[in-house]
Amino acid sequence: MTKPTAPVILCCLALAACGGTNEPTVIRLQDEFANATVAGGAPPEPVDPTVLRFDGQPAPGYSAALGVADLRLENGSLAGATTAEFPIVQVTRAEGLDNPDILHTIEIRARVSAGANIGVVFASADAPNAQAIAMQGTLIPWALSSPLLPGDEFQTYAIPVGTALNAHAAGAELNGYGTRQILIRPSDAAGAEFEIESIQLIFRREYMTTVPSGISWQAFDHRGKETIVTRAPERVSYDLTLPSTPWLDVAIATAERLPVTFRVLATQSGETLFSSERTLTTAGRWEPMPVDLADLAGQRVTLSLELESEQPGALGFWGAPAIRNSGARPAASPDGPQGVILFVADTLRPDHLMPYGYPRETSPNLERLAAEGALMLDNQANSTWTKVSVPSMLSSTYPRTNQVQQMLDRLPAAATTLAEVYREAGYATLGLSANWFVGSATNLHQGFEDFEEAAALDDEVGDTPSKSARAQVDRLLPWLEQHRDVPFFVNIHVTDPHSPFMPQAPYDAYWGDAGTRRRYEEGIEKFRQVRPTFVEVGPPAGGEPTTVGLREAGVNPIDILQQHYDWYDGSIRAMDAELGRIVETLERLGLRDDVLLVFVSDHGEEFLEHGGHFHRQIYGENSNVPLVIWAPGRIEPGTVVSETIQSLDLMPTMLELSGLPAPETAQGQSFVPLLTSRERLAGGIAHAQGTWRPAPVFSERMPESPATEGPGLPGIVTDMRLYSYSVIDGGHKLVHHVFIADGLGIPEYQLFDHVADPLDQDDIAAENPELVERLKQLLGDWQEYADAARFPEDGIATENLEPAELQRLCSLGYIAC
Amino acid sequence: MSSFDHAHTFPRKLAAGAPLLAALALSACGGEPGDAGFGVIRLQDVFDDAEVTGSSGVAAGIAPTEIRFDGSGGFEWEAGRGLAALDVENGRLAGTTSDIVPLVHIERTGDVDNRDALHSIEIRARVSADTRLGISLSEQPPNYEAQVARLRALPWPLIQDVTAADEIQTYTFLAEQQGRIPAASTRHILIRPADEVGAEFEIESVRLTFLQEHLASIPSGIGWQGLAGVYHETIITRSPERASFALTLPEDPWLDLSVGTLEQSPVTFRVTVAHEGHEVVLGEQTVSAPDIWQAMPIDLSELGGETITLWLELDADRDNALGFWGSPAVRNRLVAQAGPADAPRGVILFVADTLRRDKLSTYGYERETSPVLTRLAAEGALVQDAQAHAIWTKVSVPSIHTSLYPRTHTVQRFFDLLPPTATTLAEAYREAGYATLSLTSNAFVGRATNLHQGFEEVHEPASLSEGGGFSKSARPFVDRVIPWLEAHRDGPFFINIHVTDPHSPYPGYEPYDTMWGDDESRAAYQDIQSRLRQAGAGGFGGGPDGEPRTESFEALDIDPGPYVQQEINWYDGSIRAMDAEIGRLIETIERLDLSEDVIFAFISDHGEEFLEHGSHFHLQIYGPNSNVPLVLWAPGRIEAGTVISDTLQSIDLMPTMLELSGVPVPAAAQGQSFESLLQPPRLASSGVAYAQSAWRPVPVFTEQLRDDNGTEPGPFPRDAYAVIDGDWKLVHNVYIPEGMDYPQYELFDHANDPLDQVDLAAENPEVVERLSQLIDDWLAYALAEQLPAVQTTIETLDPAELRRLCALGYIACP
Repeated sequence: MTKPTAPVILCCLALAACGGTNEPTVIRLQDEFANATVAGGAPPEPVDPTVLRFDGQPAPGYSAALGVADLRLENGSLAGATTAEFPIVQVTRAEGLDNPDILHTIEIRARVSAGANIGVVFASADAPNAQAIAMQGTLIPWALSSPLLPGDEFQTYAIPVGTALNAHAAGAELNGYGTRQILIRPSDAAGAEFEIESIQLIFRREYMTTVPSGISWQAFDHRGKETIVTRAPERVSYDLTLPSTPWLDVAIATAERLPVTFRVLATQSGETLFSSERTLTTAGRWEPMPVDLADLAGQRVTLSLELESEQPGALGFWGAPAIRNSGARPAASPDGPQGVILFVADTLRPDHLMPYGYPRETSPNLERLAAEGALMLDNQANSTWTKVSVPSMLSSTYPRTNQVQQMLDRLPAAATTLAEVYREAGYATLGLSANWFVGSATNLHQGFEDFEEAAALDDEVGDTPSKSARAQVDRLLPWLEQHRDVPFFVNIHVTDPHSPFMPQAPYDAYWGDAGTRRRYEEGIEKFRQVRPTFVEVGPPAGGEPTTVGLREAGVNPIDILQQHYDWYDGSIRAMDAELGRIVETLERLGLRDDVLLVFVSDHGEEFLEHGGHFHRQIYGENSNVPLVIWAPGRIEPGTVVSETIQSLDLMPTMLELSGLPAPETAQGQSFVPLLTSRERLAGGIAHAQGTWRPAPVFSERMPESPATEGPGLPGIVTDMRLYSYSVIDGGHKLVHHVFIADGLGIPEYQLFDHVADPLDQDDIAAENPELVERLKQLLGDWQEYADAARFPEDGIATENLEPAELQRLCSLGYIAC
Repeated sequence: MSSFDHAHTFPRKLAAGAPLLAALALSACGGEPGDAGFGVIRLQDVFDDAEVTGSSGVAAGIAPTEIRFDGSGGFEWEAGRGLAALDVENGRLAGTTSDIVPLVHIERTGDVDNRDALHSIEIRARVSADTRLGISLSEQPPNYEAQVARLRALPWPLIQDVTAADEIQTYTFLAEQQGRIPAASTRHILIRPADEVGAEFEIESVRLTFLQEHLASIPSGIGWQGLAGVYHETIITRSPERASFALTLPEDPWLDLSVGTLEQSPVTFRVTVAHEGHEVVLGEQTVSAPDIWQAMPIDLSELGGETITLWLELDADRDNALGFWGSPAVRNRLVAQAGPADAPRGVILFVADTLRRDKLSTYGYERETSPVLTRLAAEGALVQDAQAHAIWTKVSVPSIHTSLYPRTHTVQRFFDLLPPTATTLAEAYREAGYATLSLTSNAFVGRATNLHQGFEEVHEPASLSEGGGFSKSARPFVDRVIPWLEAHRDGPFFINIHVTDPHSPYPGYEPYDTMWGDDESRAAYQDIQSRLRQAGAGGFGGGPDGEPRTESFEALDIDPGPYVQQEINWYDGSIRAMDAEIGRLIETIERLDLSEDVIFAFISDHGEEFLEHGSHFHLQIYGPNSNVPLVLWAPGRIEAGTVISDTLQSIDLMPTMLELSGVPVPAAAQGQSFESLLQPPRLASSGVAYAQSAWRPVPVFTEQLRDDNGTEPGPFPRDAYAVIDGDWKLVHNVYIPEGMDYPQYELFDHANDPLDQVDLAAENPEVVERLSQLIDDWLAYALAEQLPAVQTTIETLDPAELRRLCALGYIACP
C-alpha cells in the first residue's frame, strides 16, 4: 500500500508550463498570461445594476410559496414570518429576462430574527413547485446559502454563485431568464420574523467591470473553459517562439449583444506577418476559432489577441487558447499513446454486458474492444454512487482521503486529478459529463481546458441526466477531428444505463413485449397506491420499488424487474452504439494504433438482490464494475485479468501505459504488470520495477447528505437505508454496516464468498469468525491510513502560495476566493 | 408615338419552338459522363449508370391509412359549414355547397400516434363544377369561422384545380412539398370540395400516405429528401445494398457528401474504392440518430486523375434499413485550372425580404442602418434604381431566379409552382459545375414554389429552430454558411441566402429593438395600438390583412405619425441586425482568402409600406414596394465605386451574374445583363466604347395580380401593371374591386417622386397614352413567352426522365 506523503505537493496547482525542450507540445496562453503585455484597455462601461427593491412602484412580484405567513410590503421591505423550517418566499423578476449573461453573485439585504442559514435557488417556470423544491432541499442542501446573523440590524448577505450548483433549476443556465424566479429561504427556523429590503443580482458583465482582465474559468451554456478575459480595444501580446507545426486552438465568446471582433495577430518588429479575425454577433455561446500558424513555424513572433467593438469595454472571452504543435509528442512521454479516452458509463453492472457472459447482445462494440484488448473480470468501485466513486477513480484516492463523501462536497485543490497530470504533460484535455456530480460542482473540472457540464445537454427525460450518450458523442467527434494530430485526453461520462430505465426508441422496445409492458404498468399502478411519492423519473425524487413495498402492494416483483431489465439492457445497447461511433472515428482518423481507450463504470445497480432498487447498498450488484482497456499495439488482444482490482488503481495504470508517473498522492497501484503478456510468461516472476501484488480492496457507502444521517427522513427516499464499509481480501468480502435502518434486520457484520457469490447473497460470517476478525482488522487499519492521508483543507494547502497564484486558482474555480 | 422596340427591350428572346429542357435533363455537357464542368461528378446524375447489388427485395409493406365511406371505421365525419346537404350515399360522402367556403370535417380516431410525417394525400372524388379542391390538416379540432377568416389572408397550401366530371377522379396532394407535417397533425382533415355555391360533390375515399410507407414503396435511386428541414438531391439505398460507380476522377478530387437516415437504429455508411485491383475503405460513418444530416467528406486526392470504381455501401443490423446519400459529388480542388478562365470561386446571392431601399444608409438614409453594405457598395457597384417585378416574395423571387416576368414564369398565386421548364440561376450554375446551396427563411423561396430546382442542398424555413418557418434573424443561416464555406472554399459554389430580418413583425431582438427610438416612442406606439385594438381595427398579425390602415387612424382621429415612427425604429434596427450578419459573411470570405474571387449580389425582393398609400405590409404596386436596393461586390471584377443611375429591373440580375461568372445565359432570359455598366469604360483604340455587350435603357415592368383565395376580398385585391420609362412611371389599374377607389391610370414623376405620391396623369395625357401602350405590348410579349403548363411538359418527356424529375420533386409524380 502506498504511503501518504507529506507535505502535499501542489504540483498541478501551479499550472506550470511543461519541461524545457526546444519543441513544446503546447504553449497555453492562459498559463503564460503573467508574461504577456496587455495594452489598450478601455475602462469598462458601467453596467446598470439589477436591483429588486420593495420601497417603490412597481414592486417586483412576490408570493409566499411555502411556510410563510403574513407576507406584506412594509416600511419599504418585504416582510413576513416563517411557519416552518423550510419556508420559501418567491420573488418574480419581470425585466431583463433576456439578459444573455450569467449570474455571478446575489446579494440579499435583509433582517431576520432567528435561524442559522439564509438560502436561495432560482427557477424559470411560471409556478415552480415549492413543495418539491423543499423536499429535494432536505436531501440536497442548497448550495447558494449563507450563515445568518439574526438580530435587529439589516445585513447584506452576498452569495457567490460561481460554478455552484443550482440543482433545482437543472439545465437552466443562470442567465436573465434562468433567474426569473428567485426562491428565498429567509431562515431555517420556524417562527422567525424577516424583512427583505433588496435583492441585487450581479451578472458577470457587471462583476467584470470591477476586476482586471485576466484568466479565469468561464462558462457559456454550461461549457466551461480556462479563459482569458479581455475588453475591447485591449490587446494581449506574447513574445514567443513558435514550434514547428503550430496552430492556435481557441474558442471565443462574448456576453455582448453587439458585434465583437476577435483578432489574432502575429507581428515581428512591428510588422504584421499574419492576421485573422472573427466577429461574434450572438452572445452566450462558444465558437471555435482555430488559426493555422504553420506559415510562421519556428519563428520568434509577437502573438496578440485583440478585441474590437463599437462599444469600448466590450468583453471578449478567449477559451483555452493554446498553441498546439501538430505531430509533437509530450517530452515527458514520447512513447505514450497520442490519445487517451476514459469512457465512464454511469450505473452499469458487468453482468449485463456481453464480455462478462450476458446472453443478450447488449454490447457488441464493447465485446470487440475486450477481444482486441484487456478485460478485467473483477474490478471494484470504491463507492456505490457517482459523487463519491468518480473522484476516487479520477484522483486515485479513497473517499475518506479525498473527502468527497456527500452531495455538496468538493474535491480539494490539493488532489491531483488524471486530467491535471495529462494537462501538465501537454495533452489537450476535454471533459464531457452527463452527471452533474462529475463537473465543477465537485471541482472535477480541475485539469480540463474544456469541460462540458451535464446541464449543457438537452435533457431528454424530466430533469434527470441525459438518457443518451449521443449528444456528447456528437460533440466529441468534431473535437477529435480537430485534435487528431496532438496529444489528447478525453473523459466522457455518460448516463444511458442510469434510471429512469426507459431509453429512447428503438431501444425501449429492443427487448420485451407488450405483455411485459402491461404487467409492469399494472404493477407500478398498484405500487403507487402504497408509495404515493414514487415518480418515474427515479430516485432520489421518491420511493423506488422495494421488495417490502411491492409485497405490501401485492405485486410480483418479477413483473417490475423484467421490464426494468429489458429497458436497462436497451439503454446499454444504445450506449454501446455510441461507443462504436467513437471507435469508428478513432479508426477513421488513423489513431487506432495510437490510443488508449478505457471503458469503466462508476458503480452498478440493484434489482432487488438486497430488497432495493437504485444503488444504495455496498453489495456486489453495486460494487462490481466492468473495466475494459483497448490499446492496440500496447496491450495483447484477448488479455483477461481475473485478479481483484479497484477503480483507484486505474489512474496509475493509465498513466503508466502513457509513460507518465503517477502523482505521489495516488493510493492505487498500477496493474500494468497484469496486462502485459511478458510478465505473465515470465513464470509469475514480475518485472522488478512494475511489480503488482494482490492487495485488499475497500469500498464505502456513507450518508449522501447531513439530512440522511441518522434516522433521516423515512419514506421520502427509500425503505432501504444502510451505511457501510467493505473490504475484499483473498476471495472474501466483509461488510461492516455502521447504520442500519429500523426493521431491516441485518447484522452489523456480513461475510461473503466473493468468488462463488459475487452478488453477496449468502452471509457466511457465523461460520468464519476468525476470517471476520482478520478482515475487520484490515478495515480498521485502512480507515486509519485513509484518514491520515487526508488532503489538507484548501485554506491550509494554499497558505504559502503567492497572492497572484491564489488569485489564479480562485479565478479558475479550484478554490473559494 | 411609337411603341417600344422589342429587340432592344428583350435582347435575349426565347428561342422559337419547344421550350428548352436543358436544365431538366440534368445531363453532362461533354467530357466524362456527369462531368458538369470543373471536373465535378455528381453521383446522383450518373446513377443510371451505376450498378446496384445486394438488394434484399423491397421492404415489407406498411398498412395503408385509408378513409372509405363504404362502411369502414376509424373516423367520424360531419358537415362543417357552407353545405346544403351532406350524407353517405352508395358508399360515398355526397353533398352540395351553399357557400364559397364549404367545409367537410373528418376526424381520424385510430392510428394517430404514429411518429411519421405525411408524404401525400389522395382524394378520390367527383365535383360537378370547374373549381378548386382544398385540404387543411390540424391536430386540434378546427374552428370553421376562424378558418374562413384565415382564408382571406392565407390560402390552404394543399389545393388544386378540378374539372367538372361525372366519374370519380383521383386527386393527389403532395403534402411533403409543404414541409414536415407530423402524423399527429393529420387527426382533423378539413376538405373544401369547391370554392363556389351550388356545387355537387361525392367523396369516395381519402388516403394518407406517410413517409415510411412512401419510402417502402419506392425503388432505391435518386430523390429529393429532407431531414429536419434540410433537403438534398439524394441517392437512396437500403442495407445491404452496394451502388457502384465507374469514374475517372478529376485532378485533385474530394467527395462532398452528407449522410442521414430515418432509421432509429444505427446505420453505417461506407465508401469504398477499387483501383488497380485493390479495394480500400475510404470512409465509414455510423449514424445513430434519425432525421439529421451528417457531413462525411472524403479526401480522394491520392487518386487524382485515376479511373476507379467507387462503392456506396450501407450496413445495418437489419436488411432494408434506409440510407440517404445527400448530394454526393466528386469535386475538384483545382478550380482555377479546371474551369473557364476568370471563373469566380464563388457566387453569393443575398436576398433581403421586404427591404425598402430608402431605409438603407447606403442609399442616403440618415440613420446608419447598413454600414457593411455601404462598404460593399463603395468597393463595388451601387444600383440606384432597381425595380422589383412584383410586390411580394412568392411572385417576385421567381423573377430574380429565372430572369422571367411573372406573367411569363406563371407563379402568381400562393400555391403556384415554378414550371420545370424554367431555367433557374441555380440550374445554370449547377450545370456549370458549381456546388449549389440555398437557405431560405421564407417558404415561398423553397420547394413550395419549386424554387429548389438546381440546388443540391436547400435549407427550408422548417430547418430553423425558431420553427414556424420564419426567422427574424439571418444569424442561423450565416452560422451554417460559415462552416459550409470552409468546406467548399476551393469552389466553385453558388449560394442563395434569403433572409427575413426586415419582414414584419417589426420588433427585432436585443439590442437592435432599441437601437433607435426610446421609451417614449415605444410608449406612444403602445398607446395608439391599444386604442386601435379597442376600436377593433387591424388584426396585428403581421399578415397581409392584419395591419391598421389610414382609415382606422382617421376614424379615431389619431395621428398615425408616432405609430409609424416606432415601426420604422424597429424596422431600421432589423436592417442593422441583418447588416451585421452580412459583415460576418464578408469577413469569412476574406478570412478564406476569397475576396478577389467571389461575386456577391445583394438585393431585396420588394419593399414595405408605411401608410404612404393608406396601407401597411406590401400590398400595392407603388414605389415603397417596387423600389429595391441592389449592390454588387466583386473586387477585381467590378470597378470600385461604380454607381449606376439607370433604372434596372430584377430580371437583369441573373444575366449579369452569369455573365460576370462566364456562365452561359439561358436563351429564355428576359432581362439584360448590365455587366458592361460595371466595368471601367473600355475604350478601343479609336476611342469608341466597346459595343459588344452594350447596355441600353429599356422600360421596366412591375405587376400585381389579385389572389383572392376564393374569398372576397382577398389580400391582394387589385390587378395592376406598372411601367417605368425614362423618368415616368405609369400604373394601370386593370381590376379594381368594388368599394375601392383608384383611377384607371396613375402617372408619377419617377425621378422626383419615387414613392409615387403625386398623380400627374390628368396633366399628361400623351405620356399616359404612350406608357399604356408600352404595357399592352409588353403584356402581349410576356404572355406569348409564357412557360407551358406542367402537363404539356410531361407529355414531351420520356418515362425515365419523367421518373427522375418527379423523384427530385420538380413535377408531381403521375
